Amino acid sequence: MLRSVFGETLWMRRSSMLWYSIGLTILVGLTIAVYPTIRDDADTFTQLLESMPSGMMSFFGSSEVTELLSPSGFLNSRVNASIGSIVLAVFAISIGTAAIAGEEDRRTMDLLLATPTPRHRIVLERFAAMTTLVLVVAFVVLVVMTIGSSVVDMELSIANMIASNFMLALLALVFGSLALAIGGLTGRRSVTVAAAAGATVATYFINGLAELVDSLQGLQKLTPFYWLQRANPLRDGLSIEDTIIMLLVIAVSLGIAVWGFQRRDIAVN
Amino acid sequence: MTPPLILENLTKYYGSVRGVEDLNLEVRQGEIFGFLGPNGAGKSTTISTVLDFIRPTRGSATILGMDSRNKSVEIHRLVGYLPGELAMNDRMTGGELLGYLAALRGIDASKEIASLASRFDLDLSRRIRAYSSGNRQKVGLVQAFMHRPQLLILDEPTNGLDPIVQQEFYALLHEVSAEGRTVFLSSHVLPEVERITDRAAIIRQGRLMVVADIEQLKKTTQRRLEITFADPIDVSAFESLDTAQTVQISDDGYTLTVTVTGAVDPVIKIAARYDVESIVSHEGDLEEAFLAFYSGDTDAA
Repeated sequence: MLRSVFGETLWMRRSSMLWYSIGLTILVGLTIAVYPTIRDDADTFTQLLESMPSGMMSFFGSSEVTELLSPSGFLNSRVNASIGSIVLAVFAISIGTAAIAGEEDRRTMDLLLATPTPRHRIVLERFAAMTTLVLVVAFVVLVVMTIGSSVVDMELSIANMIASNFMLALLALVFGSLALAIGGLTGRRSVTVAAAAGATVATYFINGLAELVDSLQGLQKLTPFYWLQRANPLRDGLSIEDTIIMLLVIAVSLGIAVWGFQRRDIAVN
Repeated sequence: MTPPLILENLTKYYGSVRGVEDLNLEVRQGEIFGFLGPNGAGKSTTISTVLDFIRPTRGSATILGMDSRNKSVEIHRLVGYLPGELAMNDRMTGGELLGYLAALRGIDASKEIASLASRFDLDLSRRIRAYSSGNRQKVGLVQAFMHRPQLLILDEPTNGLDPIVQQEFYALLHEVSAEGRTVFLSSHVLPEVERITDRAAIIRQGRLMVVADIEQLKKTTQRRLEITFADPIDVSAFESLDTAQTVQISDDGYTLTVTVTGAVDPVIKIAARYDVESIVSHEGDLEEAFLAFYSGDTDAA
């Protein structure tokens, strides 16, 4: 594995990839495991949900009770609209931060740059590694979802589950690429973590609160969580428009990362 | 033959803070060149600029005939670098890190790595985290030498090395130099520079003070000899030597103290006429020569 920057990045992340996969497997597995209970006692849960403020419901990815209690709505609310997307985004941010800013923070960048490796190549290989790692974890989630949903008869289409997990990976990569871009521009780990994590939390809440606060609805359209959940991909399949938006944001961030890293002095000693 | 390293008016400011200013320097092929100065003088700044980690405010560095900015990747292929503050991915073993860095160079350096590691008595199977600072420095040295670079740029290379390894390192430098490859090393330790380099530049507060030929410097360096004789002697023969700066004889007439510039041989020849009981030579100190250069500079390090 230690033959390239790409391989090294995968190698150094092998155990964290495993832990994130296990964590999301537990989350998705448990979510699917409790679904039969909810389906069998739908009346109680309908009453419970109807008693909740609609703004709170929007944090579950939908304000429609029947939608929330459907297989796709339920799984979407627990994975895409809440902790699942955050967890995968955190994984991507940690890789995107380590890619440049982390390497500089540890003062190991000079040893890497002293080899005949162009700076843009370091950024691109690290990005490729981040994408690979996120897709692998998303694939694990897809497998767990496919097996679990068939065990409890959730009747979800495989195509939609692929679309949903692909978009989930894209959301994570939006934030991971943002971290890569800030790291490329600044080379400072603390700034990068704060900005990328801050953007994740802020956009998550803006997207959720926009149902309650009208003035946030313009901003909501700028949040990656909106792009992921505007349509529930588990129910409606791949949203081409939102996929393209996320791919564009990722591409622009990557461009900024390369440009930022090439133009500046790196941190040595 | 193009000099392997040329600095022309190389200047680096960090905002309004001066890193280095107007450095002009030519390092000759095959020499061991010392870059001497106190900590904070700008040695690492210069090296980082040469290797394109940081960019000059103005001026240029030309390495093996190539511009440091436009040809950095090609330059890195031909240059070996040891950082002054060596930091490494300490979750890898020494062998893993060296294999990785060799792979990034597109070479199989396993033989060279094994030979250097055994020369330095370095166990490559342990994690870098578990290494002593001396062993970490050895890993740094191996990665700098493993691809047999044309130019070695070593920032404080003997940091943390024990004396035996230092000797091995000095021997390696001379082999490299004998092969016509060039070494540029920074140090704040004067005796080391005096001992291993052919020429040295002195940098202080970001400015190049002087480029000195070490042999030349040694010739102008003063040495003090204390010679004790079995019988009282006549000092006039010593006093007539051109190279003897001061000649003193102890009150009892047995012990002579001579300060000599350059070769000590004439003094020894005269002393040999008598029965000599002991000779103590206070080695010519380059530090004194350098300090003489800085005379008037109150905070000379």
